[in-house]
Amino acid sequence: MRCSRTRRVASGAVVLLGLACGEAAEPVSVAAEDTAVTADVATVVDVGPETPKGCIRRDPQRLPFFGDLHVHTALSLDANLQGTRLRPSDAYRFARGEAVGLAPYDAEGRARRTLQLERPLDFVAVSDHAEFLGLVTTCLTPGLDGYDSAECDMYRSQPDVAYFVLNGLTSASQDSAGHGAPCVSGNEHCGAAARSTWQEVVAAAEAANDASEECAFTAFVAYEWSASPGTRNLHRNVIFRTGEVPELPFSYFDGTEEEALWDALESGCRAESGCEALTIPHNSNLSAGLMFEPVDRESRPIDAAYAERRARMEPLVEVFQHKGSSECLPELAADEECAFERLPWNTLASAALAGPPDKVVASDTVLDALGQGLALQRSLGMDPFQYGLVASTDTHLATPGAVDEQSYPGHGGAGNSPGVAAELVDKVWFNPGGLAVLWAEENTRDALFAAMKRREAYATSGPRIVLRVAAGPDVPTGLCESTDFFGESGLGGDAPTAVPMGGVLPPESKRLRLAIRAAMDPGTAARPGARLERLQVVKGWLDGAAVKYQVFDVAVGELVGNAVDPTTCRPAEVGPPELCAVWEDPAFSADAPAFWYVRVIENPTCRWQAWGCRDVDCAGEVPKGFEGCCKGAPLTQRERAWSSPVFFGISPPAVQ
Amino acid sequence: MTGMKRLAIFFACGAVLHLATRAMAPEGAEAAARQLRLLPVRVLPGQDPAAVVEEALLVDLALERGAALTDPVVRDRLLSAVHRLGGEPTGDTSALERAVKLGLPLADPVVRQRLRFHGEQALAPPQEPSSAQLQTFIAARSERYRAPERVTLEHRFYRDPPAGDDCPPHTTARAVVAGAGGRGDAGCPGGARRGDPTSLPLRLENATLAELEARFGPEVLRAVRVAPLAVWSAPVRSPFGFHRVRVEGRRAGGQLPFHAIEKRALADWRAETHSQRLDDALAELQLRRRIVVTE
Repeated sequence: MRCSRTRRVASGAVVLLGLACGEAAEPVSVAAEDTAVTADVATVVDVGPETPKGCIRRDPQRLPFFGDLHVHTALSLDANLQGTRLRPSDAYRFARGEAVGLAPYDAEGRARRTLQLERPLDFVAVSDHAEFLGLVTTCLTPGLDGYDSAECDMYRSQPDVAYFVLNGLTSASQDSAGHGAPCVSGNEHCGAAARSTWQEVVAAAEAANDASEECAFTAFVAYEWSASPGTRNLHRNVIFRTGEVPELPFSYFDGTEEEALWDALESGCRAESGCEALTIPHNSNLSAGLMFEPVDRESRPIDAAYAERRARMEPLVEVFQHKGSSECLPELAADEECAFERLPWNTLASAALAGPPDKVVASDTVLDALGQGLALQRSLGMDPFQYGLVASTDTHLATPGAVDEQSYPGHGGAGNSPGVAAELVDKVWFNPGGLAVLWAEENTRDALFAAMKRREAYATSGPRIVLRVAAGPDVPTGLCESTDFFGESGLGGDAPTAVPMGGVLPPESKRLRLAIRAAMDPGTAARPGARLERLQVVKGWLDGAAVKYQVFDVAVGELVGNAVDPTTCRPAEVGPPELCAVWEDPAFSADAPAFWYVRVIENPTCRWQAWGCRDVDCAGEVPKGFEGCCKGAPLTQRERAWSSPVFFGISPPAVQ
Repeated sequence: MTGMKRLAIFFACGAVLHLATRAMAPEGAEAAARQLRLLPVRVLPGQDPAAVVEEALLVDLALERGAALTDPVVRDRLLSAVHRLGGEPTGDTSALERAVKLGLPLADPVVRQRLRFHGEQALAPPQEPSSAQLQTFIAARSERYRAPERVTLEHRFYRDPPAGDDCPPHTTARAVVAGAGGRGDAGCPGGARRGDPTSLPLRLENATLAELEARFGPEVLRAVRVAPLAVWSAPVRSPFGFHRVRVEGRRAGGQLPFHAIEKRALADWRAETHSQRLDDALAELQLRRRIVVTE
């Protein structure tokens, strides 16, 4: 009999939450504001109207909105222990374009670094870890029960030790996975602290969300459920549509399987009270094959009910972030593009410790999940893995959208490690992360949430590439010569004949045409964008019982190789700024469930560490502190966007 | 006047002022000094003096407010420490006074942290601003709370430089003024008027300038900023190619109504004022202490 996930928890050595990299620093007070941490107060926040009467900027043909759905602040244990001081309200200020100070801090508490987005974001969800939410506050607030515990003393005096020990204590077994030692007995102590901290999270999102007719910025209430049995990552970000949210986040300590999370959301977040939530799994690349394992909490093969529920609760998956790409393996689809930002490890611990490479498996990848979903669809009548794609940063510095390679401040709060050159702000195998893009009529919670549910979303590794897809049997072949792509594609009107990315083709379809239009990120005056190299279609289909994959180059610009000027890192001004293709699947079969998604690949640009490493000769004498430059990470990269797939087969659950 | 004379007068005046100050001030200054609470602070090697003084001030304030008696953890730890030192058994109050005199509150890290917290709470308690205070706060940060400038425009795209007479701006402008062509297209008939296919939008309504830059790049943004209304621009080069734009309307940015930003401003106020109030209160507290720093 298989070992259940519950038992695997018991065998786990250490649970690492976010793997924020860098050295631990002084833990940061989270009681500095006016959160009345001693009061057991229910989460009651004055919730204004979710949707304004009408946004000044609204387009029925929909607009692309750029944002970040995965952000940690000083309220997350790992970020806090590494010295991050910015809180949710600071993260939202940063996302809207204000400068913030970053760790390290000097003796007077002044930040030694500042960061500001050149281009503000349209939306953000601050998603602090649900686990330890109360513990962080308890350990940093004198007067609270638990503050004087030995564990909290260690938390304050030896944060680097506390980082590992607290996580380790709570991963020893499922029974003791109970809120950390100072809070073990039923969580009475930390529960009150967690409630007040959660109130701060909710209030910050409510305050930052622009519910006026300007619709300038959308802030979602969110948290991260951080299940990591044996450091195998099963994390999910939970995003709420409104400010009506459960009294407390549901943590891994409250339930160790995803079904328990969905149970809690279905019972504690009910539509009749105005609450609605979805979950977004991330980092399947570090799940050692668990993320998309087709078994339920009892280790039984999943059934149609599970599949329906998963598809309904999880319309999106985070395919790319700070800890690498989860898209695919090069060998799975004979696809060299799968090597992009792929880590050679597949657990959180091994990625943090950078030991020998793990045996990375296909089931770690989103591509495999999409393919296995087709097979499950045939056997169950329902596809549990009908995912749309987004990316985010997973910043632990409270800096959403900080994806610029040149100004990348690192991931964790403590800055770079002792003995490492200041230029190397992170371990070189990690990256700044990406962005989520949502096609919506306006920038409001309701419109963006609806876009997430219908999967009209795409991921970028950072650049603001604009990507639009129309799919259907009758998409005009001359669409690339049209000046009215939306109108003529069939996406618009009262009876659309095409579906956008994330959509499902009608079952009577006899062929598939994909119309794809992509525009480069023009960049800014200071940071010009890179031109486009190619459009690819990645197809997966069911051939009998086997899942097959194929990659098609459907539009190719001017190939420039790796020609980036190393002295300036300025992208080459060759190749097209836009690419367009209408591609018809030459092997479409009306009997074969299938999916297609699009990759837009840029010309090569410098990777973040190139600015610090470009003068280092790895074959010669490497200057002290620059050893990381020679650990195999490439100095250049080809950044990209991934569309959500278009599906053919069985319709997903009806979108309400 | 020679330089030597000027110097002599300077010193003479200085001497008079010095004598006058000495004659008038000592009684008041000494009296004031006697009123100052003495605060000895010991800075260990490697410690930041300013941080140590700040902590000592907060701890001292907490003790002054009676935290040694009201916080049970502080009380028990100090009593236990002072009893360990031995001596005549005394009441709790005397024992606590002795503990303070011996400097035990600063020696015990738990006590020190709790007292520091009490001091901070005493100096900068949570406080809500009045409506007037909040409006003042908003006014001082008007850029943050402004509605962005918006623009409505038509756009045509050309992969290659459009011919000079393809769509002459003056012709189009006349057409607009005359109302011909509905959208001012009379001077640019046929396909050329529509330009080349592009994924860039041909029309934007009430777009912010930030959105315009994100889609078109900085060059088009610059052109739109200065473009007159209802006139097709000369071709503007961008990374995409060439663009003509015709601005149909502008919506000036301006101060948002109070109700639209109140919640956000309140959150900002709380975040910003806490540390500022603490700094101000610490500075004021420092004036009421005679701090003697030893190393």
